[in-house]
Amino acid sequence: MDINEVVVKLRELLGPEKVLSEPEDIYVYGYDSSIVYKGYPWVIVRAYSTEDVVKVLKFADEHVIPVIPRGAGTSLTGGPIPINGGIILDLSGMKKIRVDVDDGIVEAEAGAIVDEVDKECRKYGFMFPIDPASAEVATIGGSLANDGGGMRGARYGTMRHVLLSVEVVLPGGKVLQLGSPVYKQALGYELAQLIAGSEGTLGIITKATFKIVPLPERVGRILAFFSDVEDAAKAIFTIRRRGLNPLILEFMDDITLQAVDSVYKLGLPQANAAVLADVDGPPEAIDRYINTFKGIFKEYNAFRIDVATDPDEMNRIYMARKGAYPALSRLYPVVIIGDVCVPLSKLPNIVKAIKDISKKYELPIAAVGHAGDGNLHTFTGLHSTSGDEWERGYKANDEIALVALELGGSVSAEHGIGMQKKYLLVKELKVRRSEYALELMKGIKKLFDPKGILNPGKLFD
Amino acid sequence: MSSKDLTSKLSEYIESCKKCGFCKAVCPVLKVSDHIETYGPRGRILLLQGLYEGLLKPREYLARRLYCTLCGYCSIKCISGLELTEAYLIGRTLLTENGIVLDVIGNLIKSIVSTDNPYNVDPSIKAMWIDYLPEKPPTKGRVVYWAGCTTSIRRPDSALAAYELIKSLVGDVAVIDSEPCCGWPLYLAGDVVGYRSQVSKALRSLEGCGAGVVITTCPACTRSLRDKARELGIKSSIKVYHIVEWLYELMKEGKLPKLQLEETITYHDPCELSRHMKVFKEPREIIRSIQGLKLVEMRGNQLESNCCGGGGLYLALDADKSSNIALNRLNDVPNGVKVLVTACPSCEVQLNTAVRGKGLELEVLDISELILRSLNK
Repeated sequence: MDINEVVVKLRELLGPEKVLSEPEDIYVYGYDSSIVYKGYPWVIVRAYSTEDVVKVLKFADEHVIPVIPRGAGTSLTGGPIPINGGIILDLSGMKKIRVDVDDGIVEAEAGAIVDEVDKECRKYGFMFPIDPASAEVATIGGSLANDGGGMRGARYGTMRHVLLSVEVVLPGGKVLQLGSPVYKQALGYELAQLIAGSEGTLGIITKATFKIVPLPERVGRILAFFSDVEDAAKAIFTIRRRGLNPLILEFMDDITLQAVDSVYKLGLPQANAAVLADVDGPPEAIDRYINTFKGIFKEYNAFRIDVATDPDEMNRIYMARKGAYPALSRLYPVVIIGDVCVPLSKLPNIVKAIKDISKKYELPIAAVGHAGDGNLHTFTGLHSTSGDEWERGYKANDEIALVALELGGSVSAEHGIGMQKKYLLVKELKVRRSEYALELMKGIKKLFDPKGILNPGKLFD
Repeated sequence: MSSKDLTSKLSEYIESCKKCGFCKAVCPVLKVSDHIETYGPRGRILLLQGLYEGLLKPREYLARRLYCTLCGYCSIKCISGLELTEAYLIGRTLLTENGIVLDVIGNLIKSIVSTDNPYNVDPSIKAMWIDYLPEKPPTKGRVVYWAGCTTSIRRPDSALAAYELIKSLVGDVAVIDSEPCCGWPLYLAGDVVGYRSQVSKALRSLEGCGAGVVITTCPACTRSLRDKARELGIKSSIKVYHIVEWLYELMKEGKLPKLQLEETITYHDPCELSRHMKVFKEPREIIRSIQGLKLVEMRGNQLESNCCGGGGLYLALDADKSSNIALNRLNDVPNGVKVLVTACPSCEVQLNTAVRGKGLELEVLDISELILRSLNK
């Protein structure tokens, strides 16, 4: 079947208004947030219901046409990039949200925006636990498919940790509900969890049900500055070691702090590292929690500690962390974003290694991230996407991932594998002497998608 | 700027855009276009990239998707701090230079050439509001009220109020009975040559009536007659103020009389005035100086104000979507508020039409109408 026939058939099946095939649409839908990856689909289908998805998957399976699911297109690793043409299945039109506060759950369609889901939960005094940095645009389907996390990951983990059940459509059009919308379930293999992080390679997520959590009664924010990076890392480790459970626990290095301050003029001191923590609880306990954290920061030689409980001041000090990516993006036309995870005890080591790699490749590499769960992001500032600098940037990024691996960590924490980290996934499995896991994954893929039409070329070849 | 310079400038935007898509969160056009990527800000930058690379051809389909309200909210969200509306305008200019002018936009340009306004109405109709003034105003003078096309034709009550207000504060104020278009729609249409000629004509007409100070109720006219003209090196010694800026100066100098009004209002920030001209504190200070008046902020205000859908020639391009954007904006009005004040005739028209469409009990006022009421009380 040639491309024109595919377009005509899809128009017949779904109605012309749901099918985009002009060169402009093809071009635009060939990109995500990963900077380097691009590929052009043959056609884009806008799905508005599970039935639409079923029609597409029946048709695509019959004619062995690749189907690439897409939410907001904010993947940082090339997840929704069509490598060899095919149908982009744009799920951003499926956005229904239903909060069931009695059962403590939210059900959201794949295209619902994470922030909108959170806002809906807040109407009932609850919140959606997972808060990716792209929450204002990222969709539930995309975030689940990538097993996205966020700052609150220190307490709530990633999407998979709050997932209860998921509706998926398989090639051929079979609709399955995997898992149950209840807090406990013992149903054999946890197939719902298999979908989290599967990056659209097993089935098309159409809706999912998640746990929700109560809004904190009160939040206090603490920002501590350190002269010694190792002290900051040790403070984070100690917070965890002593069994404290902050809502967020973030790390920022000197490059981040300088960049943020130069752009946002926050009046930050010259420091080699900072740690940001949010503590929450009943109002009468907040001061006690804050003092406990302040005590730990002082123990590790923090030379300045800012504390905020009123919203304006909380927002101001939050910018020290939230402003990291925007600040570095303003200073450098190109920023390579890294995403690794290490055991909490190894935070000082990875931070030191990032500094060494930065020197080795003569590139500014900011280390920042959700240190409370061992997840660090790096922002490598470059001037262009070509030439020697670009090559060094990519080498440095990979080297950081490999150091994380050596330290007993993982090459990917919350941004997925996509196209970017396929070889790093293989590397990680090798280090763990678990190459066979890749064969298992391929076998599972074959069971779900025998003809290999779903998001080909992602996770593994 | 030559085509080469424009293309080079465009390449900077393309290179610096991280394609993060954070801009999509706030785009009013994307929201009423069912989140189809091609209609959003990242989509527009990618369309420009495709043009730049030569992979996309200049054509009407592309031009239609490149048009938005130019509200600039995407720039506030831009992780790289890019003024994205400038990139879209470069795109419009390059398309125009390639002969791609959408019919509705072409008609609008023709209308300005033939009738001196973008609404294709006879100039006598545009000047009709002047007939409703209690007495015939002078046509020459140092202080001139510049109503602009939209205020004159679509919001004559605002023009009358603004004139009365200025007159009550400074005495003599002149108006031009054959006021030309300021040229801003031409600039927005990518016709920079046409804009230069039109804004020069407008400034000449003001010089011809002896204007030293020009006060307007239209932020677009302010940008055109002052900011953009200056940026393009078109010289003029006339001081141009948006009425909010002018009232604010009077207030700072202690020349604004006591204002009083028992009312609860909300204020909609026009995109041109707030995001583009950074005038958002001033209207609030003026409004808060009115004794007895309570200002309740809209959800989304100042630099994060949601658009009314009336800017960037988008109304001409897609009236339905433009109207849906205005309806969305009404959802931001706080409960219980019966008066919505703004400072731009296009916003007033858009929001008033939406209010009537929804059957709401909400009065839409220009800030000059509000101040005039507060003076008279």
